[in-house]
Amino acid sequence: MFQKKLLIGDRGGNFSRFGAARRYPLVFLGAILLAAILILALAGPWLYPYDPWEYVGKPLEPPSLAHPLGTNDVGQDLLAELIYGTRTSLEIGLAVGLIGVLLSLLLSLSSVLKGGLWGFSVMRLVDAWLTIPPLLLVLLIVAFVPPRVPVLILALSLFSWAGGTRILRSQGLEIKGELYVEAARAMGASVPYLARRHFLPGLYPLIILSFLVQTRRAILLESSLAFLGLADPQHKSWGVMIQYGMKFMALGDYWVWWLLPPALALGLTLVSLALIGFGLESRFEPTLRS
Amino acid sequence: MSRVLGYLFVLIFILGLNFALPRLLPGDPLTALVGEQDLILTPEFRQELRQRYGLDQPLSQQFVHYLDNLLHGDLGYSFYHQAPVLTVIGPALLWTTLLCGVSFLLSTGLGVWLGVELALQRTRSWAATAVGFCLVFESLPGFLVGMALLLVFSLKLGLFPFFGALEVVPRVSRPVAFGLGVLWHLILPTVTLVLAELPSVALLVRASMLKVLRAPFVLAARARGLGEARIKYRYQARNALLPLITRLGLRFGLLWAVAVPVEVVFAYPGAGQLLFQALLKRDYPLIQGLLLVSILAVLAGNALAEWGYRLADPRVRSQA
Amino acid sequence: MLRKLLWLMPFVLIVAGIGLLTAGGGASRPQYLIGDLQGDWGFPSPFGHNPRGPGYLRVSFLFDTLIWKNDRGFVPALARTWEYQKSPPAYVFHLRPGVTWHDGQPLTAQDVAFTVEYFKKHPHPWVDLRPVKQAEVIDPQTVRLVLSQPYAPFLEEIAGTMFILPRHIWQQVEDPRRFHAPQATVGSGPYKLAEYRREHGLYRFEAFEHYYQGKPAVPEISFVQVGNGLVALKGKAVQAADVPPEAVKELRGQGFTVLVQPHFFCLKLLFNHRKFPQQDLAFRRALAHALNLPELVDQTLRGHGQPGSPGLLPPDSPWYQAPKTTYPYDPAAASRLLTSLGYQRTPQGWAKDGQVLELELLSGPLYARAAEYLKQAFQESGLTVRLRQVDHSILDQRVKNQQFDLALSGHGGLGGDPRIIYDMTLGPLAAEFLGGYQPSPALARLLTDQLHTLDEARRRRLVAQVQEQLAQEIPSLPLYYPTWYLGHDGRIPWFFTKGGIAKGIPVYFNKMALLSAPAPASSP
Repeated sequence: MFQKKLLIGDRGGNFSRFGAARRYPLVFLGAILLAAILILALAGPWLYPYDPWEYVGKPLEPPSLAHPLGTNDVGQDLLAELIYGTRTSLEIGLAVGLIGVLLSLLLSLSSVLKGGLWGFSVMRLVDAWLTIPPLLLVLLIVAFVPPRVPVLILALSLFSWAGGTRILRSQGLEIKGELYVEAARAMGASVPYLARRHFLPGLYPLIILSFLVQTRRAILLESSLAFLGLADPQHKSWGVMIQYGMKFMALGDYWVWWLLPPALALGLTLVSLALIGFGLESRFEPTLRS
Repeated sequence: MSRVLGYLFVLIFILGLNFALPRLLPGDPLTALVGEQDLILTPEFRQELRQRYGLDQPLSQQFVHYLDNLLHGDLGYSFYHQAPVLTVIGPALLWTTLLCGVSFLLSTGLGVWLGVELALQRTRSWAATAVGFCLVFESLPGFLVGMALLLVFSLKLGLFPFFGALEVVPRVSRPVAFGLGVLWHLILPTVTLVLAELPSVALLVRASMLKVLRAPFVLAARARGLGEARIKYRYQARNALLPLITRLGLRFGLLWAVAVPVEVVFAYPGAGQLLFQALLKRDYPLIQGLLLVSILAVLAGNALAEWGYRLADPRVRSQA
Repeated sequence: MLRKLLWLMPFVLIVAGIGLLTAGGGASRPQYLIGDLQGDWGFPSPFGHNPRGPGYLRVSFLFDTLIWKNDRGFVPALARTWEYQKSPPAYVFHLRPGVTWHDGQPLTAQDVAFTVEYFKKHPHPWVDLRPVKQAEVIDPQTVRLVLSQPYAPFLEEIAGTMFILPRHIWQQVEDPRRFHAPQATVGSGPYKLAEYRREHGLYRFEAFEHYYQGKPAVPEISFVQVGNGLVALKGKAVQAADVPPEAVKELRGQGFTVLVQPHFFCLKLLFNHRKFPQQDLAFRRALAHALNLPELVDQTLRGHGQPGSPGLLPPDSPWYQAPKTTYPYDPAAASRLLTSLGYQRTPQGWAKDGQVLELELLSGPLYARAAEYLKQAFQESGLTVRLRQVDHSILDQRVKNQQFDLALSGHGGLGGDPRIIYDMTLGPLAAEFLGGYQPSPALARLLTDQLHTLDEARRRRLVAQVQEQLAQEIPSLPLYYPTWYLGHDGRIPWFFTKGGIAKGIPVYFNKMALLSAPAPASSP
């Protein structure tokens, strides 16, 4: 059973597919964009013939039929770089989002169900942790530990669990206060049972929301790091493309096909995730944005 | 009290990380202290450095030594700049503080105003588009917005400069020109940061305003016949602002972080640009010092903001 | 109504500001800015600057040396004439009369002698004074520097590089590196320091009116940090900056002058000579034949570079001599050489005794593209190469500790005195530069001889032989010399100093281009 609060933005009722689409235009739009990008990432390498590591043409070629986005400064196909960059960013973003959500779920549930000193210290840790600016600490780490993809995922995950934990915990506390939960506990229900039967269903929307938010933040951080030069050299990345593209910004029209596509890809990915998140959020409750 | 403990824990964690990371570098630990200038040092100088930094001592002693240095303001020595890290960081931090300070004030002020209006006029058509714009800009990375502005206004239209924080004019010019030069260089980076921060402030204020709009105390105020403007700002906005104020410290920290790539885009000589250059050259002492100072500044800001909030909100105060 | 006015205010202010700014700017002197990507190169004093070339360069505007160089060779600076005495080997310098420091004090031979003693006491990365035994003051305008043995690079490396320090300022300074007071920048050069802003990388130099060669024609010159040289140059924010090769045509079309920088930087493939098979000459030669260097230049440098010469020195160096031993792209020859070592070509690659040969190529982020190309090229000839990208400092470490198979490393300084080859092969830096290579006795003797041969013709022959020897032994394989371009607005007649500024800094910014009168003819 959900906690349903009727508020501004709640359009309740009919859940037919097109009805939903009309009622949540933002979510729909965001979902379409995200789907397009996911398709690009998954199917792109099969559909598109070029490998972004190969030297397939002369350097700095403008767009043509053979190379729709032209080539970069050493003769690698830019569209291929874009496609593979999409994979990298999505991989890292989704991985971090997943790890973050799992960790948040674990910590919040244990804090709610066990309570006591453990719950208290988890919350203090979360509050303190949230004060650390993520980019700066991740910069510190990858300045010393070479930024391979696993390292990036781990470092970014460090900052993906705190926000979710707080939200899940506050919702979890509310669920805990419900009569049926108290009853279940009085009857001796075990912790896993409670978690599965009572808490998880109530937390699903927040879990999804948290996942979206953390994925979005992770992609943002990863591209910022790549822009600053801290990316895995064996994986193509949007941020690196943008950094290289900036070098050639003043040179005629190179920026149109070098700088613009990854910027658009990055922007659209982030916006689509934000739209879905915002749509889902205004469905449930504004104050959950804490 | 528990909050203080929380901050303390974070502080120790960061200091420990700052201490441990350089020593995780493979090879000679001196590399971490010297950076890329390794090639230029003579063996005698290397030995002297080893002694000065106590690299032969056990780790715990080194950590104590390190903490002691920090307390005395010794953040290390940058061999690239041939100067103590603190000296190198100083001027850059000032510029970043200027940029972030101005952006923070503008984005908070304008954001509050926009959020209030968006909530009150939510039925108008422009409100929906504005919310849309806010959503988009909130999710876009700052450096993308910055690049777009640089491309259009500096490169194509030639209205704004490409680098620096002030005009490099001969000293004969008046201080007014100096100030205006600083302003001119400040505009695009500030607009970028404001565009990055304002949307989230506006959306947050809008959301909490929406909750407050129908609150009983507002109804009571209206019943007493108070003017709309007064109700809007003294009653509604003030209460709606509380969630914003709790996050003031957090916001400032985030702004600082967003400023890093934005400064790189505009070659603005602040802490962000300095950090970028230090990363390129692997000037480890500088990287460490800069990040440590930044993180500590943000933490301090957070702590201050939280303390301020506790003072400001009578409900919390009465509980404490 | 009031609200609308409030909105207009900022715009009014900004427009007024821009107006004032441009008006104010017009009344002052025209400025000349040189854009630099890195920005800060240390405090501009002889001991405070960053040890690398650009750091020295900035100080060279403030401090003069005994002799200097222009595009043709040595020219007088603080010393009017000079001569060499055979025994004991010594150089006598006759200083110009009437030279003053920026603070008005006169410059005498005492300052020169003091400088020599000071540099001996406080070693400086740019000036190695060990060959100089002592400095003698003969009279206030004459000083004699006595050497311990004949030292060919003396004029370029010491007389042409050592900044003369004012004794009255430096004699009390115990820690020259931390001496950052304004007096530390008082020199005898054509410019005074007007402003230094570290975070901007800003060095503002004002002309020194009482400069002994006459007040410089350019009243003010500055270095400043830019994010993108091309953008700043095109936008007229700076007047000179390094530009990417693709922009050259466009810039020339817009009226800019673009100068080609001589090729004094080299990217080399290093071998670990402690490991097999790299220590085998046949193997190194096989690798050399497996690479198509002109294609490497085309692919990774977009054609803007020159293929490496196996004798190390680039064709632009005044000491260059094309070696007779060369390694053109010849996969057949590579195969032959590998077979001669006992390797057999299998589908998985070259194998010996059942073991497939696999090597690891270390590279820094700067040469990632060259490393990728090399890997593919070697792959085509059947050699399996693993790429590993690490930080430059880590790469230097591993090369020094000989924990690598192959590595990519680059360095400059190839235009100056050939002493650099001596330093690289036999000196303390040999481990970093050559990966543990032990030069043959023939090579070692040649290198030492050329250092002490003062007869230029004879020295030239020796250096040619050194290059031939290097080509035969290929302790490291020079891959290419990248071409760099400098764009500027044509106001200042920048020229390229013969062999690079001072010890071989390959930049155009020789302070002599800023003086009004050309320097008088040089001494022998």
